[in-house]
Amino acid sequence: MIPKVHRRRLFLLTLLLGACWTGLALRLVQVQLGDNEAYASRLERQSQLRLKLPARRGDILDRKGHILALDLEGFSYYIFAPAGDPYRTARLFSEVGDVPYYVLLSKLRRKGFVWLARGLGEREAIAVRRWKLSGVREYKEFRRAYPMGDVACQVLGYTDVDGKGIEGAELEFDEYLRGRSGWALRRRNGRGGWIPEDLPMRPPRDGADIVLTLDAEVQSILEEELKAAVERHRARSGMGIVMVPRTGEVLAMANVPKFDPKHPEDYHMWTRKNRTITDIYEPGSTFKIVTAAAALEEKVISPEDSLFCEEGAFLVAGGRFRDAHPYGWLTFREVVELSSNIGTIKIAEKLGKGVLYRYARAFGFGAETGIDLPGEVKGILRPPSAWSGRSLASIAVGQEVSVTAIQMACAYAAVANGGMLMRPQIVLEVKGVGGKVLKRMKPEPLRRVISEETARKLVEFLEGVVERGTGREARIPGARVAGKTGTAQRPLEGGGGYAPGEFVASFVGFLPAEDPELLCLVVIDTPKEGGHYGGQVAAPVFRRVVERVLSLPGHPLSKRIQEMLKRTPEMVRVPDVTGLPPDEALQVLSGIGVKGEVQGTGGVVMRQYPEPGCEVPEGGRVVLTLGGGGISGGKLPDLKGLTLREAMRRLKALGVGVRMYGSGRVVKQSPGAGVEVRGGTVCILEGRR
Amino acid sequence: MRGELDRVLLAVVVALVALGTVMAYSTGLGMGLGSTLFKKHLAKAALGGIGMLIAYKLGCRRISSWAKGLLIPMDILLLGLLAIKAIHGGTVRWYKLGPFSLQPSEVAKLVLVLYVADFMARKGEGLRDLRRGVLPIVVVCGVSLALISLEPDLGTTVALGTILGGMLFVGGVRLKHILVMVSAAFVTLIVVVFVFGYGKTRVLPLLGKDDEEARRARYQMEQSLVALGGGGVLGRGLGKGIQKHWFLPEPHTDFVFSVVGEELGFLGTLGILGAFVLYGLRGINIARRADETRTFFVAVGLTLMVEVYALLNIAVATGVLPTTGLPLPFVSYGGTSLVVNLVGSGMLLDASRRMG
Repeated sequence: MIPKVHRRRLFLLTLLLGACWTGLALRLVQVQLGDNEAYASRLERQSQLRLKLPARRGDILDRKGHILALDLEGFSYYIFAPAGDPYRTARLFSEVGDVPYYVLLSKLRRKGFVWLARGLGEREAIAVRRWKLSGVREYKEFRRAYPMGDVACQVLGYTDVDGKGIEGAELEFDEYLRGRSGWALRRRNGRGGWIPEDLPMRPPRDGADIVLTLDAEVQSILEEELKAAVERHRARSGMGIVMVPRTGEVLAMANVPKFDPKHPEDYHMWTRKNRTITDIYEPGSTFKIVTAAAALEEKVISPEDSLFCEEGAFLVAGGRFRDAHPYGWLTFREVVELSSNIGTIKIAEKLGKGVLYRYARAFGFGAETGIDLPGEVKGILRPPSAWSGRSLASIAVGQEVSVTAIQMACAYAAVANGGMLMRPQIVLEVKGVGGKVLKRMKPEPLRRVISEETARKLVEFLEGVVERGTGREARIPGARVAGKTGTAQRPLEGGGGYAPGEFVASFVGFLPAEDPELLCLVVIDTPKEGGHYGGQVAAPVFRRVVERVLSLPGHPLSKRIQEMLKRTPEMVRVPDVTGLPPDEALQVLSGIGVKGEVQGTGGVVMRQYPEPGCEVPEGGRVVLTLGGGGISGGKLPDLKGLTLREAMRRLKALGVGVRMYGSGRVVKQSPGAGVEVRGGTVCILEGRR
Repeated sequence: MRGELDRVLLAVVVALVALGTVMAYSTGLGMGLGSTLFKKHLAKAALGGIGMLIAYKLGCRRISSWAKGLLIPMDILLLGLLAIKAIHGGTVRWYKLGPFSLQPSEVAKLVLVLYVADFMARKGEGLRDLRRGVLPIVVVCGVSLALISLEPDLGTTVALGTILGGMLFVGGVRLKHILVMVSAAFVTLIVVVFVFGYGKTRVLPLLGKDDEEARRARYQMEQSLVALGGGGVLGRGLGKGIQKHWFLPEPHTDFVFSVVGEELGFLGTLGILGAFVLYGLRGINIARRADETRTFFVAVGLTLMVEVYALLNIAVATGVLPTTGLPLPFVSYGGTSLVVNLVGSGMLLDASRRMG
């Protein structure tokens, strides 16, 4: 038998054990039943993560459906520092991303969240995943891409790295474009990984697409021609607008120099602005349309009445006004055609301050046009009460006023449109997911500025300007072109007179004069070589732009113009000179009595217009675009089977950017053979041994 | 006289091992290890079952008589760990032999329990004498405990010391000797806790110290409470626990109780408590009805072996005690512990047949 002492002691021990178990049971009641809710909510809180599901930002398209801006899926990488090997992480990511090595390294040495790279493409993402860097996390988001490069960059604007519109259409239509991001609850584990589980989520709603009135092809042409002109005349900058006068739709709106919308931060604000609406200039003679229109409408003078133009110099209230060429007696019509300042001032004096001011306002000067783009300014048009003795004269000839390019384009569009001023239109429609039209913009007449009768007479005057007057460089054989030149001195910055030798040369015109379909304004700021008159500098740009636009295949206008051209007698069929060296091409053309005009640089004709087979009048022009200088034209050759080196050489010669993957011979190219080459085209080659 | 095998005890053991196997599957998934943990645990449970059967067949009396001879080899095993530690540094608690690993402190636990039972059975009344009874056994146990504490494995040292102390108490050591032993052990514990730096990371956080290190240490404890508390009455459901996904440290061993609490709720944890209480009651019952003192002491020691570990493990999981790193008998993943506890249970089952 077991001694009693053992039994007693065992009993005591049993009691102790019982007490312990009871204590633990009570503790469990407290934790699992009493504090259940607090702990359960903490469990959910610490193990759930609310992920943002980014919405795809809408596309921006041109009127023909070309994509100007879109969201691509991008891969971003972040890390919670300190983690992993900061030196290796910084080195590798500085190679694929935009952040320099030392910047990244210093961030990684501190504590906290660090973006390592944002918006990488699929290929870079594969490389990053292959590094298997510890602590590096991937986040899928969208990145903005501009497939046509810098085409229309100032109109489109750009977004910040979070996809928010900062400038241009991206800013103006941000509300439509951005959509609504969603969220998803995810279950995470204690080490930052995921536990699969079905938790609530709200899917993102993608943004709507914006269809602009712009025509990417017209836009490219305008930009190219402006760039060429700025280079030719060593000018500071250039801007231009192409519009449909009847509707106010803007087909092109360009500023050179341009910027790279992927890296706006690398450019000065001045380059990123859409200066056609945000900047003002003194218009000079193009502003005389106001005086002429008012005089016709108010019938203070008839077209064939004569005025004495003082042989070139005229004093008004102590100020001396000059004409570029001294004239004696000129008719009203001739005053406009030859752009006589003195004649215009004499007409304005017949009108008086109030009338001139009223017409200037009626044409839209001194007020925003209301175009749907951010940052538009009013320009400067002071009321008559603030005018000095010589202000009437100055304003009549386009001094002491400042206008925006869009105001000037709209004013002339009103003349072309029979006197009806239209609101300039930049958006055609807003399209939701699946192409559903959410909103369609309609042409919006603002007011009648002048009667149709007056408008018709003005158009006649303007036709005369191009036919016989200062705008002869804008003549297009076979078409009736109306327009007006402008040459203004550049005011000194800070006021107080004009900068010597600095001019703003402009031309604004439209065609066909009998039923205007197309209007184009060109403004070249501070040309330093090859003249400074609007007729010398800007009118040829107008002509080139319009000719190229009309030769675009399928353009609604081109058919009419082609037909018009056909009506003229001696027509010559244009041979195909593409692929020839420039001298040979010129020889061929002169052999059939056609002038060749070379533009761009390079050893070979990439593109010609009118295109081969079209007919041009004898003595007409064929513009040849040379390849090799990065100017658009030509088609991508078939590169398959070539060595990557050879393929690259050929693409370089076409001015096409190249990105290569792999090595050996080309097995894949994108875009494929036959695709038109544009400025900024990049061809992706994939090689394999 | 021969009695019946204690079927209740056997059922409790089988139920706990079964739960452990299920939890090995659940926690293995949680840690992203697939079913490897489950398969390994199953193999160890099978090995333990064989051990239990052999222990049952050999009988508790025969096995306990071997304890004296096993003392020296056991101490050598423990010394070997310290040798490895001296060479490689760090904390060494296991021998790794290919796919198997052996935890000598678990073996030492069984050997010492059996040796103390054997010693007390032999000494009888002599245990009341300080020089002939108390001192020798304290020295023998003290050496092994010291070796274990040097691994360092303070949790096991404390647990094993408690088990052996409890046995000596039941064995009839004078209360004043017990009091001195407990005080000495307590003072030693406090010194060791702060010498080995456990104090900063494990004890002070529990007392409300608040700095970066303490917060990190408290995190583990809090995660265990979050698991238990989050489970509520019915739990999230078997396999559906969140906390085992790297929120809990060692969800398969030290904190398996918390995982059960989260997945099976209060009912699950209460079940485990009930199982261990039942194990204790049956074990004590077997002791009380033993036909001779050796069986009595062996039964008391083996019962305490399971009870003390279970109490300490659950006390840690419920945030009552600082983290010790002790397994929950039969349930935690870990081969040596499972085999040793099953061998002990085999011996208890054998004892249950020998009632007086």
